[in-house]
Amino acid sequence: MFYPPKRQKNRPFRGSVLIGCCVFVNIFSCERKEIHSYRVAKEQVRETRPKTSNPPARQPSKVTWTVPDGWEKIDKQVPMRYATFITPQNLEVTVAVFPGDVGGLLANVNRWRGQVGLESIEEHELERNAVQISGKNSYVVDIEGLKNRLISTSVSLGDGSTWFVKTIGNSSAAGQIKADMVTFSESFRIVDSTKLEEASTPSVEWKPPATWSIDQNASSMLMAAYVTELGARITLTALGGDGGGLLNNVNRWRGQLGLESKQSVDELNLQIQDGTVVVDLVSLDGLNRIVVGIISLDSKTLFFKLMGSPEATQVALKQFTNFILSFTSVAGNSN
Amino acid sequence: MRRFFTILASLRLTVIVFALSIFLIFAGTLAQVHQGIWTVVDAYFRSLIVTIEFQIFVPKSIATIPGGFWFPGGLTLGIIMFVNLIAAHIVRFKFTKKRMGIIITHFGVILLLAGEFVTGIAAREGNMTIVEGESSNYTEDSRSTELAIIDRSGKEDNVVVVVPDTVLEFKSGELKHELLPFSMSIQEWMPNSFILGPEQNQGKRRGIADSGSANIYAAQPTAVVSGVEGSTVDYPSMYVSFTKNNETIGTYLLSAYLEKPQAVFVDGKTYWVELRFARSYKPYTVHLIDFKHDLFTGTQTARNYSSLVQLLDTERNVDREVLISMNNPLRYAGETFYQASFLQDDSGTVLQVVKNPGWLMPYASCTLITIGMLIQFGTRLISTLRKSAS
Repeated sequence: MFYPPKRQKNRPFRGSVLIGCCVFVNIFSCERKEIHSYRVAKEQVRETRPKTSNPPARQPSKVTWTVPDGWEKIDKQVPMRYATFITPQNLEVTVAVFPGDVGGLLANVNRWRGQVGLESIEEHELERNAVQISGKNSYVVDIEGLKNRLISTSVSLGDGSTWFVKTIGNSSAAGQIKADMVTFSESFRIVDSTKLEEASTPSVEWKPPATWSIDQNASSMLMAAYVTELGARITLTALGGDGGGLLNNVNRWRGQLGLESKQSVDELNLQIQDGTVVVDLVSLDGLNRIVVGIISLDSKTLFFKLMGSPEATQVALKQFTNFILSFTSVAGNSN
Repeated sequence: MRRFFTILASLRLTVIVFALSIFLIFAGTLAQVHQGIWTVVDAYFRSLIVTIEFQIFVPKSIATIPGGFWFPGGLTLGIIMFVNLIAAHIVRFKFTKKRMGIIITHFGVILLLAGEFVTGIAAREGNMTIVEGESSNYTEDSRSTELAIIDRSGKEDNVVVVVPDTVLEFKSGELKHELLPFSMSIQEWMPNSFILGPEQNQGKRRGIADSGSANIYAAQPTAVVSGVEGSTVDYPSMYVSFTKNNETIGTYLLSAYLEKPQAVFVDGKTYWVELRFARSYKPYTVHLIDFKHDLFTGTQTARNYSSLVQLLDTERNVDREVLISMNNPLRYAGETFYQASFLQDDSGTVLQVVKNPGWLMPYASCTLITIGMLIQFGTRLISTLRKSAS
């Protein structure tokens, strides 16, 4: 930079420049965010569930795969697990999908090492524990634990989610299926989930009562969602098979109301009305009630859920029951 | 006073500030290996002073070096540079035709510094995610989160109490607000985290949440996203206890991963709580009519993304349709809406909404610098050519 040596006389705005700089610094350094409040137009309340992938992609892609010979898919659906298989070696292979990278490869390896009783490793030891398989950011991890052997693959399909195929069990048996697990993981492909959804959703029609309004903010996992005039919410979900099992589902709803889980179906105090299994639960503080009707249709299970305050749910109960009954008749016609 | 300005205008000071700036940029670049790009921008380049850790210069696999040293931040250096340049003009420069080029160039540099200052202070950006057929009137800033406590008992409006992450991160005692009948205490704050499902939420990894519909999950802390990890963002989580009159209502797991708020019951009233990306509500609504993801024929290669939106602003009496595409942003109410991303299955759009009062300043400053340098070197060139010709 070149400065000519010639000097100029003082200017009156020198002081202003200094003061301006001080004010700028003051404003900049004093920027603080505090607890505050505001009012906004009403929004709808929805259930809490984990985001299924990084925003803006909020749901994991559907995938297709090639199941190795001898593996049998079983209906053991639990939250965040996508599928479960039993191998001829009687090992359970689970497929799970999580948003993001679940903490990264090192965190995953250390979590799995913890599951078989081993200490965590450092990043530079990762190469010895994780071997890359075909596909970007996809690995197989084979950990011989204190009692069991854990083999897991981590598959990234570029949709913001990470898929895991995992088994834990006898060292020899797990070793026998390792190659199959890798081949299985490498067969994962994203498919057009819109088409898949169309094919898998039962073809049924329904007509909600006129007093129910459509819940515009409903999750896309729901077939339908409505809100009554008093604020009770009605949702309709279709799941494959038995939808994860009656006990698991009832315990999930009990958990939503702060109630303790039950150990067996016998303890559930279920009612059966016109072919519909009905579960009626109220929270301990009496402020919330969930009524669920469950019907089977086309190898799917439909869950009708009514939830809200006891007053609002009671008022909506009759319409809700008729709503389920209308579905039952459609189901009967379709068979 | 004159002596003071002479010191400020020192060329030696200019060289020192340049040297310090070069080192700061070097250190800030290295720091991005382990820290988020925006964390580094705030800590190194928009701060008065920064603590530079020794560790950034040596990979951990080679040696672990604790400690660090203080260094003037980008704000300090920028201000010194700004003052130095202004002082130099006050003390030394005289407006002559011969000096026109260098004066214009310097004015461009001053404008560039001022532009970054204005951007640092006033620029705001966020993402507006809209599903096709739905509307939105807020943006989310994925670089910061907030604890929102929502009272939905009002007929028309919800009352929302918001605790920014800057408070959550450092708050060790109780958090209170006049609109809330309970207090909150942060049990654990995780700047970035991942969620363990019900099967993993066991044994030593079991979470401490005992209430709320997310108590079947647990959160585990993980390293914050670094500047070399592309477009991923941090997902903070926290365990927070709600207390009234020294009686614990419950401990909840709140996480930016969780999509829906959870209910806290107090005195027969329900409050909905969630940890979410910081929202900024707008006085207008954007309704997504159609999102298009055009491909080159016969390929899966994207040709264009566009969002046909309806802009509704009752205050300004605006109701019009606008097509936003990749190189055609919408400029409205001092904000610019860029087509940034889209939802899975093309079911919706993500618009980046940017408000930067100083957005024109870099363009103006670069133009001035270019003109100034052309004049400066052009004059010299012509003068040299004339001399050699004579």
